[in-house]
Amino acid sequence: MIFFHSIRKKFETIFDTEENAFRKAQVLAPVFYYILVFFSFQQLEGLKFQVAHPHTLTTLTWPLFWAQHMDFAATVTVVLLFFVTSSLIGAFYSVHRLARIAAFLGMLFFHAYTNASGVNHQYDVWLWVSFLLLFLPGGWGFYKYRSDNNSFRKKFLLVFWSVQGYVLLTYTMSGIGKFIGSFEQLQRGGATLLSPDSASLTVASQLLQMQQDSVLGTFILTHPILAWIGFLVIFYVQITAFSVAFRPALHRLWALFLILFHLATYLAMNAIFVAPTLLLTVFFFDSPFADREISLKNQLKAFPLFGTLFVRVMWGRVTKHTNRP
Amino acid sequence: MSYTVLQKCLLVFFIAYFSIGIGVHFFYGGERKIYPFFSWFLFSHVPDRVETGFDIRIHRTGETRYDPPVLFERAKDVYDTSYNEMAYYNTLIQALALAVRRHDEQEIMRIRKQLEATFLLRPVVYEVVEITYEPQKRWQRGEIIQSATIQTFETQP
Repeated sequence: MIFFHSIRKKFETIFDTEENAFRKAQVLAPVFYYILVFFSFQQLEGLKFQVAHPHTLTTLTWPLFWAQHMDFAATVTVVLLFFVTSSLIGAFYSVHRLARIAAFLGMLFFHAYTNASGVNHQYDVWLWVSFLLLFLPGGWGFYKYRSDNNSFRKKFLLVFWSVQGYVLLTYTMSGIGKFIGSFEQLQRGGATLLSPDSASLTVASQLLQMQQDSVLGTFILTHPILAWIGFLVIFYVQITAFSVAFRPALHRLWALFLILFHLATYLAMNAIFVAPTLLLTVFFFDSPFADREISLKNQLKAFPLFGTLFVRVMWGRVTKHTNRP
Repeated sequence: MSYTVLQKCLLVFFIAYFSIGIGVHFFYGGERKIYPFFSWFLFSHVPDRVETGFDIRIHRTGETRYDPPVLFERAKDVYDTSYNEMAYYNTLIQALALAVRRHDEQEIMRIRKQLEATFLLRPVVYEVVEITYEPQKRWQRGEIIQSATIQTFETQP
């Protein structure tokens, strides 16, 4: 409780006083909609091909209830054109909540469409971020230079932080999944995350499913222990991700770690997750709450679970070394 | 909306997203969704050291006979790989095997039609098999510990 109280106090202080954080957040929030425009236009590249190769939409989720009365070509055309239009409105009038609602609906239909021919998680985070941004107070552009509007600034920064927290939460949930999965495997007597061959088993199984070799596939199968160490590091980065939302010192670093994790999964298993990496760069690389001047020592100290240990090991040795006669 | 109400709304969102997401795993398992909630349990289970699954073995395509028969993934000249990815074929093969096990004739015909439409030559004689294998050895050398035929099919000429 004391921990949470101190975190809350710390963030309240940032939300209250950091004019610079507020300015940065105001610049970054619309970037989400600008990228959405690029992203939706990019989908049009595939429109003709999709219309020419119709397939059955096997799982029509509730946002696409209207599609059951339309053929495939009409559905995909409506979804993609609405996605483009709504994201344009969202980007052009991002200060207005109505425009953000339009962008959210466009994203919702597009997301439902990508999930209509089988489960697809690529755009889940984009959907929920567009939902969370609906909570931004309306008309922020008018308040751009009004630092005296404390309540407005606090609400804006709280929503921005929630977006960061949500993105990180998805990685923590994935880490929890690996923990629960290992526990279930342990009960069955199978290999777990703690088995030195766990990474090579996972990679081999995935490559078998895809029937495609990967850049590091053969290396991982011949060096299972090295791959396992990487696997454990990834697990640590994932499961602690949400706690990093409360550690501004690590915002930038953890986003980099998570992008490297996505790169690693591609190199190892050909599993590519493009969409979340964009969000990590936009919302974290210039995080309004992060201190760019922070020392390496303080960054290491902020590491979840092992921070103090890292600092003791590294700086303890340095001290001993420099004290030597 | 006041700051305090906003705080509460966002807290409810976080709790709901986390609880429903994790709940999806316990109620549905796998990578399913209670749309649009997802557990994010991706690659959560380390595969077993010895796995069991379904595959297809090709005995004959056109005038070519394979002795011994070849596994589907190693007979890439038999079917169209230009449009469909292997993951697509894998899904079909698993579904076909399960339909055969259930004796679901309608589903068998539906999947066969989809699968056989991708075959480049006719007739093709193929069998659905249950295989036991070690993932690393199967990927590296195509080794299978054992296989058992479930059913053999021949495409219509």
